[in-house]
Order: sequence, then structure tokens, then C-alpha cells
Amino acid sequence: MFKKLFFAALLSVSMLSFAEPDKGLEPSPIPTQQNQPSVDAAPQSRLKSILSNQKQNSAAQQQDSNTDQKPSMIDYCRKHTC
Amino acid sequence: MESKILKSLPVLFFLYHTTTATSASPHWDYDDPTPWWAIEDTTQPAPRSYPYAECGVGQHQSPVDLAAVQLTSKPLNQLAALYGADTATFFNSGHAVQVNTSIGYSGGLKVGEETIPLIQFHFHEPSEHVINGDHFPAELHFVHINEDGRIAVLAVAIELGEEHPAFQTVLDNMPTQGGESNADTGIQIDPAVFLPQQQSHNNLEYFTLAGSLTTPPCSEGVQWYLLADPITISEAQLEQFKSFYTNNARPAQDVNGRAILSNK
Repeated sequence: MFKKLFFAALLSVSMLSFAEPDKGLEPSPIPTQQNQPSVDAAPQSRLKSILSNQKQNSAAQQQDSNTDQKPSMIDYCRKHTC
Repeated sequence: MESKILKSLPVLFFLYHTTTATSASPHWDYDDPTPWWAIEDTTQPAPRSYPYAECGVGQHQSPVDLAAVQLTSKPLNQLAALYGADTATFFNSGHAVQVNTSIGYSGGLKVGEETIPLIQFHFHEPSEHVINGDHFPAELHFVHINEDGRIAVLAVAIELGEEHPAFQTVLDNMPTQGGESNADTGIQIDPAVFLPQQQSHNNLEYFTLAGSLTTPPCSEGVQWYLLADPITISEAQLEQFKSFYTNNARPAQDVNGRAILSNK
């Protein structure tokens, strides 16, 4: 009996999880994350990975611009007193 | 949910790039009691960003009190100011009156065999470099920047005396508001007219030492060349100059064991 109740609860949770993508206008992301760890984990980690790559690319671009100071320093000193 | 995140990615990327790309240098001023090194860039996310930190931690900062620096005379590279007439852009930077050279201007400072292009020149009141704590009424800085980003500044002390016609042209065409420029006058100025006329411009007498920009971010690696002779402006010109900016001079910085070399 206890097992049946447990599986019924598990099934309803699973159905809620599958139904979640249709709730496109769900206002708060926090409850969604709590209810759907397995569904959210993949895109979130992908998002973090992409953002991390963006930051790395940005840092690399900054390093490049530091290495090639010609345009930046000349431009800076035309716009500032130096 | 995944599609929701994917749909929001462009927005997230836009927000990320706008917050990183549009962050401007934070405001600084000569009268601000906050030390320049302590000014924080509040547009940046954590960790805290102090873009002018070098103003405080740098060991080769400019200007200096020339009397506090050990002077050594020795043969040095020949210094030549190879300037020529240029269509000037009169620029009020918000901190000084400044004249920018045109893009592609060929004039520059020849140090030994290397010529470093002149990018702009500007004026400070009173002088930034001092001798035993005493200022000149004003100081002119010619800013040269090489292809690899190295900076050489040629500094000329300004005393009161004869009126300087070209300086009057600069004052009369300078915008009154900070950040504004006047590029449409078509006026030609040869920066060489701001050099001491008693010196040969192909073989200048100078002192040189390693230093920094005298304004934030106070970047070091700047080679300073200070001419031995001053130029003059009239008292009326100085007063007109002060109507733009006064006391736009950084105090003398610690020498920290630097030596000053002279070719005299």
C-alpha cells in the first residue's frame, strides 16, 4: 500500500515535470528549479558554459588589445589629456 | 523550459556585452579629495575594480621635483623635434586645453634613430614638474606615441614674458565646454613654434627620466624629455588660460631612486 502511494506520488511529480515546458509564463524561476532539477540542469550548465566562454573570449580580447596598444593608446590620448 | 532559456540567451548576451563594453572610465578631478588610486569603477561587477590603482602603487610616477632627482650628465641620444604645420583640432578635454594633430600627421620626436609620432599637446597651470617645490606658471606637454604603444612626452616650461601668438590662437579657438572639440577652423599650426627658439630643434638640450602619465590611469613606462629652456606667454594670456583651467597640475611624486640624465 505504501509502495503504491509512493509510486503514485512519483508519477504525479513526473507528470508535472513533463507538463512544465507548457507553462511558458511561469513567473518565478526559483520554484521551477526546485521542482525540475533534472530538466533544468542541462540548459543551465550549457548557459553557464556559454557565458563562461564569453567571459574568456572577452578577457582574451582585452589581452589582445593590451598587447596591441597602438589604436587604444593613441585613441585614448586624443580623447583624454594623458 | 529549455526553449525559454534559449529564447532569453540573446537578451543575456546583450546585457553582458553592454555592461562590459560601455563601461567608461570613472570620473576624476584635480579637486576631488578622493585619491585617484581609490576611485572605483562602479559599473563593473564584483570583484571591485580600481582602474587608477597605478596612481597609488606605481613606483615611477610623474611629475617629480627635479631638485630631488640625482642628475647625471652623459652622452645621450640626439633629440630632434621634427614637427611641421598641421590642421589643428582644438580640444577641451575637460581637464586641460589640448591640440590634437590630424590623423596621419607625420611630425614626431626623433630619439636617436627612432621617430615617435606626435599625437597631441596640452597645457597645465601651474607647471607639474617643480624645482625645489617651485612651479613655473605653466607647462606644455607634447605627447608622442609609437606604433607599439610606447609613450614619450616632451615637456616645456612656460614663463611669463612676451606674448605667444600661437598660444593666443589656441586660446581663441578652444571650446569652452569640456569634451568639446573644434576641428573645422582649418587653422594650420606648426607645433614647433611652441619650442624654445634659442635651441636647435634638430639637437635639443634636455633632461630625461622614466615616469608615467600625470593623469589617470597614471600608466608607467612613459619616457620624459624635459627641455632646458622655457618659452614665454604674456600675463594676459595666462589669465585667459586660467579661465579654462587652473590648478590642473598633479603634485610632485616620489622619486624612488630614479636618476635624471642630461645631455648638456
